[in-house]
Amino acid sequence: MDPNKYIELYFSEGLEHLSTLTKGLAPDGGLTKESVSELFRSAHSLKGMAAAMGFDSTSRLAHGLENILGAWRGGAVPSGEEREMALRATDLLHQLFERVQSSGNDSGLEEEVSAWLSSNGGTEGIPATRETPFQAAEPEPPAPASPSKQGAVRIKVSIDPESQLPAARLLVVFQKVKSVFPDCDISPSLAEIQKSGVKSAEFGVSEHPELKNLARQIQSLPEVAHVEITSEEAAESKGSLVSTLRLPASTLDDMLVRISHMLYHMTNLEQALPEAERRRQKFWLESHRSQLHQLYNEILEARLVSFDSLIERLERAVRDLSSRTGKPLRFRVEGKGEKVDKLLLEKLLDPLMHLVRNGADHGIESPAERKSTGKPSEGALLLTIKREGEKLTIIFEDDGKGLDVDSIRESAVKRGIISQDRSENLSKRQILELITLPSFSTKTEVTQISGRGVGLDVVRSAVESLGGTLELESEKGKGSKFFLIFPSAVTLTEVLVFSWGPEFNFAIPASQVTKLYPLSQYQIAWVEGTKKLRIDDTFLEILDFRLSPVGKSGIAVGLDLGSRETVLLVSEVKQTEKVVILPWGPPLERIPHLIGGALLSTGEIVYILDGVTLAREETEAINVFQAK
Amino acid sequence: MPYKVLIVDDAMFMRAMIRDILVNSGRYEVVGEAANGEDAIQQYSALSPHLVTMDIVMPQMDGIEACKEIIKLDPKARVVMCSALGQEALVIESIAAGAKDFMVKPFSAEKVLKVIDAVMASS
Repeated sequence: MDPNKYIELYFSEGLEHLSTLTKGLAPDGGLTKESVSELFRSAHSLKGMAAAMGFDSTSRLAHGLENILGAWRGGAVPSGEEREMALRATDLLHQLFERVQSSGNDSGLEEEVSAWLSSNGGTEGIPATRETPFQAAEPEPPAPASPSKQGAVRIKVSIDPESQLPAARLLVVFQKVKSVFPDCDISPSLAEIQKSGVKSAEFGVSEHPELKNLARQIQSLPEVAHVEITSEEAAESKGSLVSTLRLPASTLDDMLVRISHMLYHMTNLEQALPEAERRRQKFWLESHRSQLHQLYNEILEARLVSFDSLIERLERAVRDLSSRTGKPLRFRVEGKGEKVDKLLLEKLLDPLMHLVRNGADHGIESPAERKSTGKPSEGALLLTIKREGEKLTIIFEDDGKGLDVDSIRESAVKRGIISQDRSENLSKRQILELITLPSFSTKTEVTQISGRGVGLDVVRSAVESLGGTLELESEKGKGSKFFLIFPSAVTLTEVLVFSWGPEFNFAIPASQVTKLYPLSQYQIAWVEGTKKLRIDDTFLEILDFRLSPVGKSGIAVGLDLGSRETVLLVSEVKQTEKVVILPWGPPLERIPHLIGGALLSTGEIVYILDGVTLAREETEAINVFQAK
Repeated sequence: MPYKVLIVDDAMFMRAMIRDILVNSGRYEVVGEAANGEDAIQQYSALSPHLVTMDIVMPQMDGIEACKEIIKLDPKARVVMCSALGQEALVIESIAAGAKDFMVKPFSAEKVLKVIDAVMASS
């Protein structure tokens, strides 16, 4: 800093203060509380300004004067001798200013200044700048006799030996530590540091994911020389400072949203470019886009979490059910280590809990019943988690009494869900699937545990809302097996985007799409009173779900519904894209064929439909119609 | 965009010095100056600066009271105390009251920026 730049200000402002002091300390003048405060501030300001300019004598003298005035301000009655001293200091200060004016520095009066200071008792005294000196910043915790609960880990901080206010500096560090560990302790106490002026302290904290980050933050504070974390764990891993981070899942979600926005901005930018320019910059635009997509996928990967927390919940539920039903139960899990998107995991809890309850309540027989059929008295529940490439399969099985195909068939006919004729033509698997229809139940009594009915429709719709399918196998007397099959362990689903008009975009999971049939090449024919799409010699069922008429330019999207193929007529097919399907909140989530929504790379919103549910709704409508 | 700073000090000399240090860094812009605590509070509400440098000894309302009032107004306020040697108890009081950091006179550009940069970086 160039002091010459400030010399003018030093004079104009400094002389003002000097004049205040001279007038205020005049022997005939009275001193009031206000005037003493003003005098004190003037001496204080002079001290600071002189120190900034490097005028040591001036600064020391002003400091001595500040001490006297500070004591007065604190309530001490000014003695005649003190007033004399103060006046003498003011005279000396005037002389020092004159020196600066003539020679550019305040040297030459050192002897006089030292004499004044020694008669005043030196400059070491701390001015009583306030009526009540500050006590302790915080209630000091009692000195820990034994390591406190927070004391498992200690952060040791040393500050610069040059630090002028070590207690204040260590308090700044303490406040920082407290932002993560609100009830940490400091040793020695602040009061002790203030008294002794030691330049280091220890903070008792506990193991915490933020610990190393905190250490880095402390290290970056001014005047902090060294930070050390001591704990058993830290002693072992002294290598890298931070190898893994734990961060809130919402941070990753936010990042995904941000990347979606970036992709949208990029598309806008690209479209705003003149055609020729766009072609010239194609390479950069494409590579930018692909980098963003890659980043997006990497973040999705990072969202994968293990099943541990879910399994713990299920285990607890099984223990609870066992004691409530009086049935001894054994719950085993295979494939615990598999990982799944955290959103998917959260959504899996309810359906799996439902299956576990069903299994324990309806599936597993009473111990006596099991004994009579030669089964071990302990009922077995098995959860298997398998990940094959993108596909995730979760199987829940019990070794209970299994489902009775004949009674399901009978019940379905009785309830008018299917006709007698039709029921006889259904395969075993198709019959079993009937129990996943809403309000279908093979057990009529209400139990406290599963509520009314089996409620497998709830499980089915939960699985399907995640883009998965529910299948079941069962053998009477041997047990049941439920398969929850998801196309991807990440809730990243490839979808085919299409529209029925200019306003909205819709999409269907690409896994459900078999083929696209342009209506310009394939004909719609009337067969037995219903419209069908003719493909050579076969006729495909058409789903009557459209928001606006589809003309000749339309496209029939072939949907794979397991045993048969159906087509959905749409106006325009746009692209396929991998998206994160986010479930809608209420009330849209109640629409069964609406899986959720997603943000396309263009930034547009797309409604994701479930082709399987669409087709099933149509079939059920027809079945009910036929039964009547 | 440089961060907005309010400088509070009853000495014009000190304000000029701090202003120059901050402005020369290119990272800060001085949006206001106040010579006492009351004026500081008023300017704080009017200007919503990112940071305040607060002298302790001032007429009318001292820097500690002003610091406390400003933090009452805006709990996230970044107040950096400007202290002289021998005012440790006052600095401790203001930090306990929520001041983010402090610097000790006489100032050097290096010292001032080290403290202020660190405060801006950590919050």
